[in-house]
Amino acid sequence: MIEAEIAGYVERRKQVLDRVRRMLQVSLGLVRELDEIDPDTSLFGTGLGIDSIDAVEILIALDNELQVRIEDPLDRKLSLRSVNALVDRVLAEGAPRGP
Amino acid sequence: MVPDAQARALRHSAGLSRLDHVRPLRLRGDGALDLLDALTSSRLFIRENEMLQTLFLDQEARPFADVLVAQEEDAWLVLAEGPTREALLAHARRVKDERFPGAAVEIEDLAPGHALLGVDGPYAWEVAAAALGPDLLGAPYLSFVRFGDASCLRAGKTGEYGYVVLAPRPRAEEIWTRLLEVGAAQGAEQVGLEALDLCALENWHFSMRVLEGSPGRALDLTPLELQLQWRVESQKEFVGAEALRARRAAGAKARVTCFTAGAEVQAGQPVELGPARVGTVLAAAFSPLRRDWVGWALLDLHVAWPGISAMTVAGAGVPPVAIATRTPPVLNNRSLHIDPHRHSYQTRDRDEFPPLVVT
Amino acid sequence: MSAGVAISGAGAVSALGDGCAALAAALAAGRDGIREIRRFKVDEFATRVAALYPGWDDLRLEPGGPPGPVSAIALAVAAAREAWEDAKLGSAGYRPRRVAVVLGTCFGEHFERFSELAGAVAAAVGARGPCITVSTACSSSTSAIGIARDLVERGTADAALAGGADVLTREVFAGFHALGALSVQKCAPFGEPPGTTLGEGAGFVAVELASAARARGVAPLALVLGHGLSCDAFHDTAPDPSGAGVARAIRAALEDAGLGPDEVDHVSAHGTGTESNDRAESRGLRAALGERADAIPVSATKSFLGHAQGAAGVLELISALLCAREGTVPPTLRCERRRPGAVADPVSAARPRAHAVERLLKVSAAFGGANSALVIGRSGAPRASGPRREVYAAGLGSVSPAGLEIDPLLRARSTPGRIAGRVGDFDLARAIRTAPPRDLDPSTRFLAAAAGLALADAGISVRGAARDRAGLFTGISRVPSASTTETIRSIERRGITGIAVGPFCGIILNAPAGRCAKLFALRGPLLALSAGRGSGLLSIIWAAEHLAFRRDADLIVAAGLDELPVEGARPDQAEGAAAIALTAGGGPTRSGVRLEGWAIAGPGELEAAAAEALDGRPSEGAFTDGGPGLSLQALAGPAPMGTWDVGGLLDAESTASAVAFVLAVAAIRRGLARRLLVLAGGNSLSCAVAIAAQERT
Repeated sequence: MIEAEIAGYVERRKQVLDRVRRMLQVSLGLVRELDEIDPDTSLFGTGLGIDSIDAVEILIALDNELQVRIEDPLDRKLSLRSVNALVDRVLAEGAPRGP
Repeated sequence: MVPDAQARALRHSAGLSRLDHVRPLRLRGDGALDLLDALTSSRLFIRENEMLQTLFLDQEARPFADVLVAQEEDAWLVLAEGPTREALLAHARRVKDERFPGAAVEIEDLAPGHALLGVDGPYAWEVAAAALGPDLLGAPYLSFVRFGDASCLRAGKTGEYGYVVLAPRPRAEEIWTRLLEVGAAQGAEQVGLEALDLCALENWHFSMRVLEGSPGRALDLTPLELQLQWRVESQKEFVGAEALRARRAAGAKARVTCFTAGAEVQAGQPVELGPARVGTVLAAAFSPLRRDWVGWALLDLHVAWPGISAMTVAGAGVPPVAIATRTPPVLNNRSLHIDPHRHSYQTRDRDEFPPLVVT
Repeated sequence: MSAGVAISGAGAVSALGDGCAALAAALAAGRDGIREIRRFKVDEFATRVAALYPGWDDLRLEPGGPPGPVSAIALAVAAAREAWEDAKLGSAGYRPRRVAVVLGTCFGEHFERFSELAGAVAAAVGARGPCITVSTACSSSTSAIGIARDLVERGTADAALAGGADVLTREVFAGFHALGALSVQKCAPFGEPPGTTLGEGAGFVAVELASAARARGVAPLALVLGHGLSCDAFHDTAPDPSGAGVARAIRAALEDAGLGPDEVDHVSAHGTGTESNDRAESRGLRAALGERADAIPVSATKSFLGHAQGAAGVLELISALLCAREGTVPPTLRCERRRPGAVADPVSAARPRAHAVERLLKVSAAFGGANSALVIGRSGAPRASGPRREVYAAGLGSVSPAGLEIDPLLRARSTPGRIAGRVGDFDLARAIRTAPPRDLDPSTRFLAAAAGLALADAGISVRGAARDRAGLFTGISRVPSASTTETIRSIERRGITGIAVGPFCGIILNAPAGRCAKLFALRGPLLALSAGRGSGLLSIIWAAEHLAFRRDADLIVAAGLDELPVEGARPDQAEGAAAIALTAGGGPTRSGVRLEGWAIAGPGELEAAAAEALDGRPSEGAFTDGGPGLSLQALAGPAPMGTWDVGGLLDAESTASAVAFVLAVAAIRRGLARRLLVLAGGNSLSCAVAIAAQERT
């Protein structure tokens, strides 16, 4: 059933979104609840308004906590556009290992 | 439909626009910051010459205005989109009287004597700097630079380099003429509100017209459903804070989600998954550069996620149109790859850029 | 301001070897000191080169192992001795307590013992005057020279050794690498490709009155004509891209020197090679010098020495002076392809170019936005110094384990006991009108709260152009502990390449000040000074000096700051911050307290400092942080309030003396006394301030 597939996909996405939100909250020292970080919130410019140092932190945290290493500069630019873009990128890497 | 030339200009060179729908105000006085704090949903952490994008909400936590607040040397500049001038002023004055009676705040309506111009596009920086001055080149995003009695604010709603020029009317006309002149050599075009709104749709930039043109008002959307919580400071008692807290406690039932479609869809049309209705289209427009339709839909939470292509939009008397939910933005904005210190409109053919359209 | 203050000798230890002769020879030959790193493991990094001191080339340090002979103190002492000998200071006949040491360093001795470097230098040459450590990251030694000039010019010292020292460790290398600042190749300032190269070293110049040097037959290398400071208030690591901050420091230096852009023949740039720095600096030079910026040679000596951190400014200045002595300016190596927007003449050449230099500008910019500029030359202009301005303590702010109020501290005078432990939770919004949406590290929180309270207490809201004339000086002795711990933990958890860059940027002494300056948009002078016990009072005195004798600032918030270590704090230790909003040029303030006199002296000289500050006036008491067993016989008059050992109340090395000052001002405001003395000192220096109620008009 389509609905079951969608539900399964959404569940996987939710889990990754949760981990990405947590990672962002810690890396950026955000004074926000996790669910106050909307999935399509942009990272640079508006949204969370991160800077280049934050970007480095996020990439390192992605590597260490979600085992996703993004090396290509274009890949980095596009993956860091929004929270959902990060989630997409993590999902594209395959299910993350670890807790 | 947005003319091709305008869509192209905004994504490949620069679009020049008159922003007569934006209401400028200036707030002065010891009580100005307190009033702004009460009006805006964000934490007002901006220093001088900086700006932030925020919202004025109504008592029911619905967006009343899409607002840019800038801190000038001695005053606060407010650029608001959504309400009429009269409604905006009435709102500000009412909040002042209710919350800060007797406070020293001067609210100046700048619209009669000032005009607002827009310059947006991957080479907007080049056009704007040529018209106003090279100081613009160093201006970070969400900062502004003065050029005599004109202010040039680096902000935009297209996802490209964007500048808003606020100037007294005679000066604004001079600057407009100059922009057209230098823009001509830079492939710039005059663009209208529809073209700007399309860019906002493509780049996931909130616009009040998404609400106005849709049954959104009836759907009672707050920053929660609109994914605008980044503009909300939950610890602050601004107008609408209580209603927003209540909505949050109750839990949002739906969320605005970006989608693309291969055929026309319209605001107000229902979104379906199989036989079940799961949402409503809030806004949609044809994207000449993508050659498909881009839109925002309010979807029930269980399907309000990018990457789902099983939903359809039902129109009256036409076959259902399949839609695919997406992670916005749906374009790989050229501006992301342009460095004003290394690139130029004149060298654009020699410079290499990744493809514009995100598949 | 007789014949001016001169640089009478120099000493250098760098990637180009031991001594100025080796440095001069390498410059003349166009030979840089950037090589493959073998001293520590760099396999994990994309960059494998640095400009390291060759004397340690045979070392192979284990990651996480002992540093061995790699020591900033060792380099500092060597360079200082050479400068001392070069200037023949041994035969100058100066009394030891009239010889000061001003040392700039980013990292101290492996992130600790900051004030000990200056002390080691002092011991090595027999100096017993005040030892001041400046730690404003990359501009430290440039500022150190400016401070030394002031000490000599105003008669606090007869001579000073001024300079800086730093060694490069694997952790520092990893931090810069993670920030993306390093070039994979040898750096090419103003050229391609962008990126910097790290280095290390130590440099000192001997500073004294030109007339005194000449009297014993020493020909000065140059005169220190002017010094300027500013703050970008922009970002932890990126400079203000418009270059406005750099421009302000340059203008302040030129104004101090009484000179205009057309009288500058050469610029020794900060020139790290990164895109953001080179661009901002080029812009800043043009903003400050106009067309002159593109008409004179601008050398980036980091192309030879790498980025020597705390020693960068002094080593680059010495390099410029060594070349100037030969009638040349140093080249900028590897600048064949000049980057768009860079200054027009970066001296792109393989060898020094013949060019007569009458006066040069030394520019340094730093993490945290602390910019520093020096005007150095063969001859100066007559400067009208103008009347000394009155300095007022306009507002007070305090953050301690007792909270955000000053009264509990004042009341503690009559109840024995200590205020110890950590600062409790507090709402930063009480102290700053709009707090940022991100968590701040503890040190920045304390400083921001104290500064915010002080400004509010003073009724001062800094707006517009006044921000360019508002500064922040902090007295701080230890690297912020939370940042250090987080950085170390990140390396443990994630490996050396996973070093957390946010906390890494916090482990410079100037980080809290830089972050606070950004919060309050304070764009005037910025300094972080360290002298162990008494650091807080030192920053207050230095702020008063700046306000009294210069015209480029009207407000300086001066503070003492301490953060308890994450682990291992002594039970009696305390943390917190105490800030004073000091003003000048605007007339008496509503708070009613004036700084009448002040003094800085060598360690163990509290009585002399007190006497100088009081200048014969009677004091009604003294609030002190002078260490246990301090007894004061030298207070003139009956001293009805006696002495209060505030250091006994609050065991916080840098902050206690600032708290003592705050309490003294509070006491006068409450009418408990009309004149009080504040004293502090330890192993590095002694300082004293006399404060008095303003006369009723």
